Amino acid sequence: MIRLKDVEKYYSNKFVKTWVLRNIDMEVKEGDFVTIMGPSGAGKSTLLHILGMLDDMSGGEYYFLDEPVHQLNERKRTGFHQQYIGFVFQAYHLIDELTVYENLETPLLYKKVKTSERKSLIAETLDRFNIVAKKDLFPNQLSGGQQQLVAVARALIINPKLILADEPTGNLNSKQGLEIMDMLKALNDEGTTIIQVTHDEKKAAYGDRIIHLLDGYIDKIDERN
Amino acid sequence: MFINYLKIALRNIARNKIISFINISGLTIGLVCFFMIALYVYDELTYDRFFKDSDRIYRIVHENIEEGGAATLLTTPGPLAPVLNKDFPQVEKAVRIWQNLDLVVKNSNQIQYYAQDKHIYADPGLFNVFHIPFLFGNPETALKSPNGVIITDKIARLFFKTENVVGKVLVINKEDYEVTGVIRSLSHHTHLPQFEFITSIEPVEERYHFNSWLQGVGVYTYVKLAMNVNVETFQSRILDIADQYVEDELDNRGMTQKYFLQPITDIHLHPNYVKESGIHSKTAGLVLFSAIAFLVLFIASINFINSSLSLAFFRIKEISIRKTNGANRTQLVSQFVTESIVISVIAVCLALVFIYLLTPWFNEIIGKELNHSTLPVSSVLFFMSGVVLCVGFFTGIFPALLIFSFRPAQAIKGIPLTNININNQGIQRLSLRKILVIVQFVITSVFIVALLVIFQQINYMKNKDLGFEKEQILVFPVQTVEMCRSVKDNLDRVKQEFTRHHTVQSITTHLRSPGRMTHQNDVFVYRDGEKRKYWINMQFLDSDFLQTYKIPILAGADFTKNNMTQYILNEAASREFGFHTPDQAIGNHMSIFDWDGEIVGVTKNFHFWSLHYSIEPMVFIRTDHFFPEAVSLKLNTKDLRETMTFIENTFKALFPDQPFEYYFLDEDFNRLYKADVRFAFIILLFTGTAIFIACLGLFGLSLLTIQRKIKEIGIRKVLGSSIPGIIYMLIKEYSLWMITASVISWPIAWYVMRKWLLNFAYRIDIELWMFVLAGAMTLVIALLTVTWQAVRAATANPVEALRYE
Ligand SMILES: Nc1ncnc2c1ncn2[C@@H]1O[C@H](COP(=O)(O)OP(=O)(O)O)[C@@H](O)[C@H]1O
Ligand SMILES: [Mg+2]
Repeated sequence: MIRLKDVEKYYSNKFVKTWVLRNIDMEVKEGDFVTIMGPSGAGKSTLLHILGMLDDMSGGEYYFLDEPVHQLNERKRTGFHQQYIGFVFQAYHLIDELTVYENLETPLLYKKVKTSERKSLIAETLDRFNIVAKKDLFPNQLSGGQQQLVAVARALIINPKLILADEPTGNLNSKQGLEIMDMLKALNDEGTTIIQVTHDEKKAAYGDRIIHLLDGYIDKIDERN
Repeated sequence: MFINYLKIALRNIARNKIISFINISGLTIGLVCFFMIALYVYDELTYDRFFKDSDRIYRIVHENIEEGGAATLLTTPGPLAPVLNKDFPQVEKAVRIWQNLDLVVKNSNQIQYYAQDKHIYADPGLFNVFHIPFLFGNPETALKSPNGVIITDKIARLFFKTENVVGKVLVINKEDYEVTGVIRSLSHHTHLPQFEFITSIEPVEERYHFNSWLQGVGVYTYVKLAMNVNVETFQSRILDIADQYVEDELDNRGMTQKYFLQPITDIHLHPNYVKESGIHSKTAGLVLFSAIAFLVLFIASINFINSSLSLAFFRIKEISIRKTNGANRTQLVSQFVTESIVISVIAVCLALVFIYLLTPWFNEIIGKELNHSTLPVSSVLFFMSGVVLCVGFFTGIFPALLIFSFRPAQAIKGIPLTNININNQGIQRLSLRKILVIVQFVITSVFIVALLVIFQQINYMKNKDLGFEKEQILVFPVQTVEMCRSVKDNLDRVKQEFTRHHTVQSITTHLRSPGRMTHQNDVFVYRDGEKRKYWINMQFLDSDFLQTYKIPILAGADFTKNNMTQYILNEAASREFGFHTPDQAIGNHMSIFDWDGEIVGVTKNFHFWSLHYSIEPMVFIRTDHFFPEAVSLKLNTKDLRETMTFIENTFKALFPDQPFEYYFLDEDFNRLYKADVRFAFIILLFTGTAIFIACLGLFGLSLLTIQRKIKEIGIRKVLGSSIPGIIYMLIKEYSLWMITASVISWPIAWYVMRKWLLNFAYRIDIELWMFVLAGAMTLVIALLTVTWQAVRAATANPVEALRYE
């Protein structure tokens, strides 16, 4: 599903190039649950953003479902988001001005899902995540765990093939964090590909492969079965 | 404490450079407009006030009621002033003034000066009523001698190269006059004519019937009342003053005369005494301009309020920390108000500099000599402080109130700023901003519609077919009595000489050319053995007039080439006289004074005056008795220079002593729209300013709101929104605002402009496209302003916005 070949990323200001990612080669198959670990500043988020096509890479090749992403234009990439990718962030990133219901609705609107179908999808999701009662609340009226729940729900509502989760449980207490992890695991069991970033060994264990990043290089890969 | 406020204020202004720039420049421009208009309005309201005791000086006008109608005249019979001086102790001095139209002045050095409207005749009491300082000579005696003349310093320098010229001699209209006084040129800030020469009125008393209550054109009469005279009582005393002296004669003629006092300070705004109504009258114009001034300042203040409100969102944390450190409400409000006042003060100072620099230019546009030095310093200072305090207070108080609606803990807990609840209380402030922006654009949009209507109307007036050809007509006014004689006595030769050149197609003599004031008089029409009297516009002319001006004849024929008195009517006159068809009029007789003649033709109606007025009945009279006031030449030339050389040479040969002055009829006619064009230009100026300020504000607002939305934009992109989708989302709201503003503005604009159009007898219809175009313009301008921000935000990398929190 995903193939990276010699991907690199640097930021350049006037004189110096700051390398953030170098020589990244990796492959992710459909249904994988991959964990990325590494110290702060290692480039984990950057890698996730590149995988999610939110950020451009400075060099290398990226194939997503055999399409060369590095050659695609903006519109095509936007198409991939809408179709296949769901994001979950550490800081939840819900839209403050919208209610829970409207937050869930947003990706569907961008995907131009018909009204009736949209309504039933949202109802279904609210139900599944047990947040029906919260649907008319604004994000800041929710606890952190509830907000992250909504963020996960929003990522899932388009039924993505790939979920990218950047420290999804970082701001949550351990009970809430485990709930979210169980949720991801369940999704993975249903066939959704998941790539997560985490610092927590226990949560890393949910994945079947751990990629260790260090200063922008892949330090080692732990396969576990 | 105040120093601390000030320090923080200055630091904040420096930190938010763009917003501070927008606030200060918007407010500055608004203030410049405001003060310019204030200056103009003040100037208009204070005409003639520079005369000493101006509140005691009145012009006396009178109403003459006769069988056949009443007329309000700005003059009075000549004997009024003398009897007021003699029999009324309430009157400190009454004086008569008469204006001599044509003037030729020479001196021994052969310097010549021709002028119209520069010479007045007056009683010696002139200087008791109007305090006009003398540079040289004695005001008590200067007008006592019939051959004394008072001149201005300008004229003194022109003829004698020096100012102290008392005792020198000038030849005025062929008579010798001795200079008895030199005064400074009169200020333009008066309704009085800009005279350069004053001579005694006595020598012309007979000629103009100034000694009769009943005859003649009358004379301007001014009185200065004694101190502490009750004006109302005095007014009632003079209302029927003529009856007290000549009741029997008035009764015999079936005449009644009523006299009224008009304060001279009123004359500029009500030059015709009648208090005009409608938007075009001078007072209505002033009200309109004042309204515009306030609106522009209002738009600028809205910017200020809006950006302070928006900035406040970014300062919630700062304020919360201050609160937890013990700041009370008053202290917080003081902080905000200090900031606003600092900005207002900067704007006022800048505005003063700009006003100083721009006044000459503004004077040119409005045709005035505005001068800040005429303004009372105390009221300017008072006003300035008022503006600073009002603007400062209101722009400071709104954000302060906004801040109070947040709990400090919320901001301090480290919840990201954008997560603070603005949905409940905040939403109302947001809609306050929205309403303010909409109000701004309602005003702007009204301006745009007004501008479109005004330009259409002017265009319409300038291009409408007047019913005669105004192009390629050159007119010389006949300025002097000599020239008048010369034209009249040698008419055939004059015509031959000019038409010798092939480009001069025809030539005609007449009274005033179209577009200028006409004469009116009683005429008698004989019909079915009855004699009827009509008061009507008349034009004396020779038999080439209709052909020169290409005025089509509806019935009958043009004048025949003989010497008989003949009449031609326009269609309106034919109807006025009760003829059912133009043909019925032909062959009837009529007379003016006692010059009897036949009606030989009826012309199609044409516009003798600007399209402000409807076509009035008019009679054309061809008679040998008239003295031409102007000569019109119809040209057909491509080489105007060559033709002009010929005309000038011919003119000089025919009238060796006369000044060669001329005008082109089309230009002269279009001058009738000068006030409208000026009005349009001023509206254009303020519309431009209003648009600019409003856009500046919108720009600032979009900058701030879009900045606040950076995170949302990032999320939306991550969720799959395309760049155009984001841009659309950002500008959709603004489009809605603009459309709302336009729609609200339409009825207002329609109402105001319909009123304005009522000033014109011939006017365009206000059409839908004007509103639509104005709406489209508002929308486009506004969207151009915000789109830049939107594009920038939408194309930014979402990762940047989302990475660190
Ligand atoms: N816009 C940028 N310009 C320069 N350096 C950046 C920029 N964004 C991120 N970096 C750097 O890239 C490195 C990797 O960042 P990130 O991927 O967020 O690390 P992680 O998520 O592993 O903590 C960091 O050292 C960070 O300072
Ligand atoms: Mg990170």
